[in-house]
Amino acid sequence: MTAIYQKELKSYFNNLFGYLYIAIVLLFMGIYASIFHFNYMATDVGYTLNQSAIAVVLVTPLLTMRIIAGERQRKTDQLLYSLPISVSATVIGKYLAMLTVFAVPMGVVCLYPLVFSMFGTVNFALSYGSIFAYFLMGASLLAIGMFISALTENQIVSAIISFLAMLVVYFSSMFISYLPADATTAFVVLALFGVLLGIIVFAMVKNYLFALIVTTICEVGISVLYIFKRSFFEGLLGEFVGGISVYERCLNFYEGMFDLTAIVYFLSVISLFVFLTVQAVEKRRWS
Amino acid sequence: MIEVKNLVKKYGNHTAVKGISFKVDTGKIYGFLGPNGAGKSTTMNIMTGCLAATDGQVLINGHDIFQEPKAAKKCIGYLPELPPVYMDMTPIEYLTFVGKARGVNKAELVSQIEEIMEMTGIDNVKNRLIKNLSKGYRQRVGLAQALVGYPEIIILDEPMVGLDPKQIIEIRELIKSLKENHTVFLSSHILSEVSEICDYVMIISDGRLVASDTPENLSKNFSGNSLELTVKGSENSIVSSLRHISGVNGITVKSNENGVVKAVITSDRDIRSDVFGIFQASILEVSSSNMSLEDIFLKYTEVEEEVEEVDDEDDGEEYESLFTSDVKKEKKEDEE
Repeated sequence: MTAIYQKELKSYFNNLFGYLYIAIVLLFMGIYASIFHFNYMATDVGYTLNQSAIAVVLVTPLLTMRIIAGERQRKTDQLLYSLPISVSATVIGKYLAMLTVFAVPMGVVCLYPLVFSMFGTVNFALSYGSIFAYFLMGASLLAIGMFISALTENQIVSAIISFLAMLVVYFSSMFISYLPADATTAFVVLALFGVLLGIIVFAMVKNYLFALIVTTICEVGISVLYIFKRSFFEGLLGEFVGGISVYERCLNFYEGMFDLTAIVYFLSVISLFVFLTVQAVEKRRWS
Repeated sequence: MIEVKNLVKKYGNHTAVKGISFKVDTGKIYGFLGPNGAGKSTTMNIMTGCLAATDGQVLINGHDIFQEPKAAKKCIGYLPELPPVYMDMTPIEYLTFVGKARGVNKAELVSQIEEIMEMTGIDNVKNRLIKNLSKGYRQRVGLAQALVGYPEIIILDEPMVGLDPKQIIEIRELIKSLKENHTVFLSSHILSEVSEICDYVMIISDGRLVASDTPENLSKNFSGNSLELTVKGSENSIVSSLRHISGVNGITVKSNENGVVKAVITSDRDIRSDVFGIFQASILEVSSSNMSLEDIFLKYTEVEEEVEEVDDEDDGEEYESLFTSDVKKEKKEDEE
């Protein structure tokens, strides 16, 4: 694992991507910091973090696009498979390398509260709590991006899909108020998801009967739920879309609340996507 | 030691490897021979854990590659078809990474890498980025990678591709020298290469192992005692007198021009002295026509089509019959 970690970390700084990522994140942080803290005299670093989240969201694909897809494109994955390192160790090593690159600008941001404290009173607990939550948010995005990278062997495709996914994650919270909150719409959308699931199952196992059974079970389950417990569907769409929004979870921290559910949420997202990445890489051997 | 048992690999409806079994013993060089698409790379990828088999088992020094991948992979160095090199690394960085990943201890690693770079002739480019190296050098870096940690078993998928003739000779010598401490398993579709360096040849065609033996035995089994004779005289009298020699199985007249007859004679025993006794001074040329590995390869790999359609070539009959019986024998052995 350490060998993979060192190799990945080195490769980020052997080419432009690592520097570019750090530079862009720091640039946005710096711009917002100068606006909020030096112009408007705010002391909570949360303002800067909140505004610059878009930068992290947008440049995450720079780190994640080639992390798995690049190996496959260059056929170096064959080397990794033949080395006495398990797939999970490889994936975790790679993930830790990305975290380390992300930790560089975050380390610089950790200095911000110290600088601000020279000019006024700073709530350090709140500031560092915010930075911690922000780091976990970025870490979740990296895990999602890595999973997307594991799905394709083309870095460009991987970058574009990651970029779209990041945008969805970022902007989803803004759509909530526009979504219909009634139960019927939620039911229809869920039913459509059931059909989609059936199509995906069919694409994967190429078995009509099995796909049909899966779809039928889903649809019957949803219908039964709709008939007997209609209240379940009310506001479901909004909740669902809100659930995707990784970035919303940080807001409590910026206001001074140490939100344990958010931390559990981040850690779950990270573990889920690291796990899925391992499965996706493992699956390649079986194709 | 590698033990492959009844390996099957299916890609959807296409079966790439159809039940291959073989054993590889320590301290020898094995050649894996077959036309493109015969399933060589697939088999090698399965043996090294890069691919999962649909059915069957691969044991590396007694460790199953699927059940105990770590223990098994520790014994393997693998050079895939395309050298798996990182373009933004230098050879020395790359080899260091592989060494660390294979768990070579730090103290040894530096000197070992120096040694390997010298062996593979890449020490003069060790600080250049791999993306700036030529195909031949990349291939050699890939080969060096397979040697890092000196694994017991070295599996090379077409190691000579992309090398110039001088490099081929160097690498060939290198592979030969590896034999002392390693087992080498290499694939190729270049026959001269295989016959030159391998102690043992396995021929694979259409996902099946069709022959496996030493190169000498293969060519001997094939041609049996076969004699090519050029003699002056009339065709009929020559053929009839040849028929009288005991042990002669088949006579094929290849050409008859200006009273010079060229014939191929197959027999159970060495009949050269009998031939001399009969024709004496009218003999222009006698040569034993051992088949080259190339002929054998073609014969074996064309097996599928040729067994089905009875051949109507006039000069190939004896070969064919010999060859099909050989294949049957081979298959029987496989089943056992």
